[in-house]
Amino acid sequence: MTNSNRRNFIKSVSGVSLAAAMGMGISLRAGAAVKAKIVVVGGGYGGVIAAKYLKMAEPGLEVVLIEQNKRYVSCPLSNEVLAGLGNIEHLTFGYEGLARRGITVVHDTVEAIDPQARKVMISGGKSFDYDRVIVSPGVDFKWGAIKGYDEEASQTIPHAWKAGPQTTLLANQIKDMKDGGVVIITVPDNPFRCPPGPYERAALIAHYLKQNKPRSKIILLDAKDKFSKQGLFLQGWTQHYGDIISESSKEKYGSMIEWVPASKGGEIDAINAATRTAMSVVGKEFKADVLNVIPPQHAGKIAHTTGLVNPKGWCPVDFKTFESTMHKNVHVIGDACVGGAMPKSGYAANSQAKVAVAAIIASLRGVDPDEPAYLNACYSLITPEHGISVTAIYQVKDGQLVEVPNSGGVSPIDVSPAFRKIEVAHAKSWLKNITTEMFG
Amino acid sequence: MRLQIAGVALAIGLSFSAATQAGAVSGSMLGNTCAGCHGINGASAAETMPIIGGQGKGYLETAMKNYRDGSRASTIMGRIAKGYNDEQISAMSAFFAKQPWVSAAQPTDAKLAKQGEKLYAKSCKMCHANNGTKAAEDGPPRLAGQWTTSLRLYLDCVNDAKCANKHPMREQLFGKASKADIDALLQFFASKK
Repeated sequence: MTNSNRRNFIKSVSGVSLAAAMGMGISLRAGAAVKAKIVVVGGGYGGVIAAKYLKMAEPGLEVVLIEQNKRYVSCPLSNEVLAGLGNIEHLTFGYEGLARRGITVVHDTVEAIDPQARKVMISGGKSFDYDRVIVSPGVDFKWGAIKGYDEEASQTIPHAWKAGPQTTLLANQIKDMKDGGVVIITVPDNPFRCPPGPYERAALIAHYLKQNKPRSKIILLDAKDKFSKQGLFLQGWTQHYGDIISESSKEKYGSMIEWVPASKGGEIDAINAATRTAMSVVGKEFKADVLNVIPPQHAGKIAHTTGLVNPKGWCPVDFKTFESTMHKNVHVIGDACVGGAMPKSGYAANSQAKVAVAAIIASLRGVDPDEPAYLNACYSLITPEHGISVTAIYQVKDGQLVEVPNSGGVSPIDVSPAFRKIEVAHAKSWLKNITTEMFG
Repeated sequence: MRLQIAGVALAIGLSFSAATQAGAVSGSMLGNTCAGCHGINGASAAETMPIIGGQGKGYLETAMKNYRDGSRASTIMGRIAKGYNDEQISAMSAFFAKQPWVSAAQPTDAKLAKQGEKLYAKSCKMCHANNGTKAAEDGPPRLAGQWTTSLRLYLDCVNDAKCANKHPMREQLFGKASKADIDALLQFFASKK
């Protein structure tokens, strides 16, 4: 490069950056009037927040939320219903608040998404064009992965892993069970929706049985050797359900909850729905009075038919935008996406929705997206007065979504009953605030 | 030639500041992650979660730093606060400070509130001015319209000798006050919106 060439080069470089800086200034200032059509598929913890925050950030956006159910039933805190502590109605929400905010709420089934034509097709041949689509379908069950367990079998052997009629079915079976009965909960390998959920479920069912049917047992058949908040759960189980004694006869029934890890033959690969029997991979049979199968899971069906999943059945995304790495202009949030260090939880879906919305808004305005921020907080109840939690803050490092070091974590192991009780109160406040954030 | 050098310096300066800004997380991005527990823009709708939208920036910043170093007791906030550096705490505090304060929708007992007013005038007014409605930029927090349950969680701890919470009036007020006095005081703050 000669001297004069270099001079020209420098001139043009500074010219370009000046123009870029000016351009940025203009589009930032003009940020008010962004026109685009965004379709959100799925109205749960992720999709509802995405729709609402899109509209809050840019009232001029056309936002369509497509959800098959008219009412949403929260999975978080639905284990309380199994213990007779809560009413499913208190976990049920309508979409009227979103409609009032100018979001078009469509109750229908999404049949297909065409990422090339940018169209979402619903039943009856109707379709919606989009500039961006946010896909938040949650999980689907891998029917048949456990031999003998399909959708039909779930009508008598509940999974209760999507809240609603399934929750009521399981609650009724537990209520109808004889004293001295055995409740079996089968737990899949990671990753799955709500990692601490099965262990909270065991605790809350135990809370009910201890008072009503103290001779009964709960067996967790696990496809893993360790689990979420394990130390805190084991402590709580022992403390409250480790030494059951009959109030009338003072008879000792011992420990109510038994956890069978994979290494001890806990992993099951078949059930017999008629005899309520679970068969482990090592050939052991476990006979239940109430059998609750939490099946292996993958991303919701629409993610598969749209070609958004990896070979394991989850949707890989760019963690800074939650845009699919398989299709442009398609963002996947919540349980369906590969969440890196983030668990498949309601709070994680909520947090991911906001990152996706910020990225979409920035892209529509033609500016760089904000550096993202992510958080998760999950409460579990062991009794109505004993709550525990886990929380984490995340960041993107070398393209991976990882926890910020030396932060977050689970509740301390050595705290007072008062501390555990406050965590229960916070769990309830959490439900109130996060559902108000969604539907209010 | 001199002009061109200045131009290059300007371009480099621009790109550096752009890079710093791109690496920083905005207050709204950070603040929105709190909404699941504290409500949209910090307007908590639930009684144990304090309203933080419209609270003073200095107070919010101090609270987060105290949670982080353990000098304020918590069940979960200590673990959460450890995830943020000073710059991020400052940014999220500024975000919440500029939000409107939305008082808690909670029932109040007018008779108790009247009793509480006397205690307020005697012991609280000097710092928590204007009936506790003031959220100073760099002073004590707003208490009027706050969820009484969240205030009680804080106060229960102030009264516990083992608790980390330090309040300037710990000895003079809370050590001597009866439960009835505190109830009345909380009703006074609940009645002022």
